Amino acid sequence: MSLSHDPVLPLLRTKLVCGFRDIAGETYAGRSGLHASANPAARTTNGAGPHNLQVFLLAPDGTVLHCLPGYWDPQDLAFEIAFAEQLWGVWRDSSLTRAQKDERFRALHVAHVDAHPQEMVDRSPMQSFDKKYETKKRPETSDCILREGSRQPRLRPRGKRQQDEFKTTDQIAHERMAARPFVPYAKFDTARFVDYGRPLYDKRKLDGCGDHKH
Amino acid sequence: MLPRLRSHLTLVAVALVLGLAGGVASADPRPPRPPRPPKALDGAVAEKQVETLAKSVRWHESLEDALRDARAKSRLVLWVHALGDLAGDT
Repeated sequence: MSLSHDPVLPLLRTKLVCGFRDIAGETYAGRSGLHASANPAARTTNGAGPHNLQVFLLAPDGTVLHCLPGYWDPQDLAFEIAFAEQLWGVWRDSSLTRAQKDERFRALHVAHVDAHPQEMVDRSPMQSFDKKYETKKRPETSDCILREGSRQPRLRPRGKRQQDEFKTTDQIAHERMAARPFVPYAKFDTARFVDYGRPLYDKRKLDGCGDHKH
Repeated sequence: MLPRLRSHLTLVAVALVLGLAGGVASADPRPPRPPRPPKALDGAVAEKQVETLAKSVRWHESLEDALRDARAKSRLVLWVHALGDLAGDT
């Protein structure tokens, strides 16, 4: 994601409270080698590097409204932040029972996939090495694969190399969130939520920096 | 401010700052292809943007403090998990 870029930076300054946690040592944290702050930053796709980076949107009581794994384009991140505000409205709605809130949470997350514009879908294909990993490690059970009979998204990526059976990461994130309605942050299963693709994110292939071997 | 935060913010702040500008004008009647942003953002620019982010936004390190602040301001919390070396690299 690009937190320092419009339209996100103004949101961070004026609409959100921001916080940060170093996840080094967590079982789900990825391994991508060192990246110095002055190294070039490579262009990448939404949802790339899910093990290295997660952005949670929390209600003030610590309830997880949304989680975005990996990198996200600033426009798309802003779009998802606005969506989280909508979910907060549901969470605070005293006219709804908990069961109703959960059902609305699920429905809104699933529906939001179809609200994503084409450009966002185009920015959200899985990385090729993540696809290979899923194909190799869990071809029968991976929820990253669009299977016959499952809910088909309204839009698919237009890139020539994206004409395959893999879901885009924006769909994966929303579907996984739909299965976790209004979970307290302390109980959120981050490890499972970000478990797609390779634990090792090959930054060397992206920006040419780093001398780790893999 | 959190000097070590800068290292993590490299990861979170710059990867897609490259933006997606630069669509190509064409008379081709087919739907436009997604624009191709540059492959990498210059390191100096990236570092500057991380610095901007670190200085212009208050970053809580305690979730409890962030939530307390959020309740006082009636705002959501954006809580970032990032992997990296606290000495400055990610």
